[in-house]
Amino acid sequence: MSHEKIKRMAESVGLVGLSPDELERLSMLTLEAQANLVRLPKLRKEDEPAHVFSVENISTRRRG
Amino acid sequence: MTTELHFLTIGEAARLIAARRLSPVDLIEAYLERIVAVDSELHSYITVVADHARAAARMAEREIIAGRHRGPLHGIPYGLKDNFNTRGIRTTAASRLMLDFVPDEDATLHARLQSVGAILLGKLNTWEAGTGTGEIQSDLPFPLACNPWDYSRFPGGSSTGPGVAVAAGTAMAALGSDTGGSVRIPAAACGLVGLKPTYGRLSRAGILPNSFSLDHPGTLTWTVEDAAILLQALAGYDPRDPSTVDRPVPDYSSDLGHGIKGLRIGVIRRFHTKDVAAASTVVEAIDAALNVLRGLGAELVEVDLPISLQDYRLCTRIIGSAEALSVHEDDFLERRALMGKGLSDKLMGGVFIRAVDYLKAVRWRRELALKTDAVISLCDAVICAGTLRLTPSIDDVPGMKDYVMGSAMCVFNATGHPALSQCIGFDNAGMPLTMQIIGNYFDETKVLRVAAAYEAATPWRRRRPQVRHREEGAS
Repeated sequence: MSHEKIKRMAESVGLVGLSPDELERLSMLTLEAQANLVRLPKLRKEDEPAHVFSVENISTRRRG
Repeated sequence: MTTELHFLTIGEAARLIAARRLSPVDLIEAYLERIVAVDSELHSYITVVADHARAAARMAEREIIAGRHRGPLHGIPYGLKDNFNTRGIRTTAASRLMLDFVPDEDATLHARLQSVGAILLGKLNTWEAGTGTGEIQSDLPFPLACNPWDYSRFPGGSSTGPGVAVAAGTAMAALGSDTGGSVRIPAAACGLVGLKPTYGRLSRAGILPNSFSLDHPGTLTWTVEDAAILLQALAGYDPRDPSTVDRPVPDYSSDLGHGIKGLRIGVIRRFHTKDVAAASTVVEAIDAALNVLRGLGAELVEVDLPISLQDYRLCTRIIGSAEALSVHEDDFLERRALMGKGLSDKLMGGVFIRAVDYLKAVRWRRELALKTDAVISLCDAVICAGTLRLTPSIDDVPGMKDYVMGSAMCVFNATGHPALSQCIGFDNAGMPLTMQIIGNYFDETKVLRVAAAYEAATPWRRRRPQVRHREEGAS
């Protein structure tokens, strides 16, 4: 990805006013993150997240 | 037992205080003098609350004389990583964004220590917001803390001050937070016992979040007994923290002297032999520690995990970056010029992680935890490596990053198992070496039992760092 594209993507999520040094770091760190993401394994449809929403926790917290 | 008050353990001091042979006032004064004498170079503290500590010591003394002794932590001095909220006391998290922040409530764990009469000495140094990769953080508002074993070597982090303070005798014990090893890594670098209990055992309420689902509070102490005493006061359900679990708190000191004869202890070697080529000194130290455990009568069994260290790290990195950005997004977008590079780089790494990628990592995490637990649950406890490198110089930026990011600590942030790092000797440069003892969920008692047996059988607790005094040589 070019710096210009990363800058546009950053601006689209509210990250504006990046200095040249910040843009360089963001580019490098984004590339690193992308490389990490493609290493994520394939999961089965039924694989649940580690932490699911728990009504008990909410109700307990309200009581507390 | 040491004759220097600042090197007493909690257990030793508690017994003396209970027998009225040691005054909390004298103990606190000894620590405050120690801080004045050595901390201008060590930088373990960001804020010292001397007046508060002296007043609390006088009150503790009055209560004890009046027969109202509150237990083994009454009159015991401790420090808190500066990301724990302390009502009326500045809490900076070593960040320019929080230099003037004075909380109006206490972190639950701080309140629990106060309720049993422990005495806060001050707020301890940290990497910004309790996060970072280990790269030099010289752009923060406070000087970096120094490793008391060798001031030119890396002290670990992010609970840098807690590690330095307990090793150097500027605090008897300390609390830190551990998202990927931030209690256990400074404990390793400073030669301490670093305990990260099971996720849900200790309350996170009032601690600045780093990564909601990976954050674990923990203790840094000189001995295993001290870790057990602290955990006893800290553990338990907290309605302020929905991750805490409402289940009985056992007596953590009850099994400390029971030995480990007949315990089935698993050995995971892949982290330091297959996934990462650990320093040969580290490998030799772990082997020697295993021989000690075998000699104490434990049944050692080789166990393997179907997951590499790199996979645990990948999973926690994606989750950690995304969760940290969700914590700090407003500051990152609006005031990032005030952030240090360590924090802003971590947040930048999370900017383009999509929701679907985050969820994929969280779903994968469950699989990792289940597979890991399937191995650990076959044993009473498991031994594996902690830090895999020798302690680098503070000028060695890649070395520091490798020491932190290459450690095997993050595995148990991903899975939530209790994990304790323990000193298992020293390298040729005199720097501490470490191993981890892992337990089954909520079975900190057995982790402490194994660690206590090892500690009692080895000489490492008899060696203390030579700390430089102000305007003096070493002492």
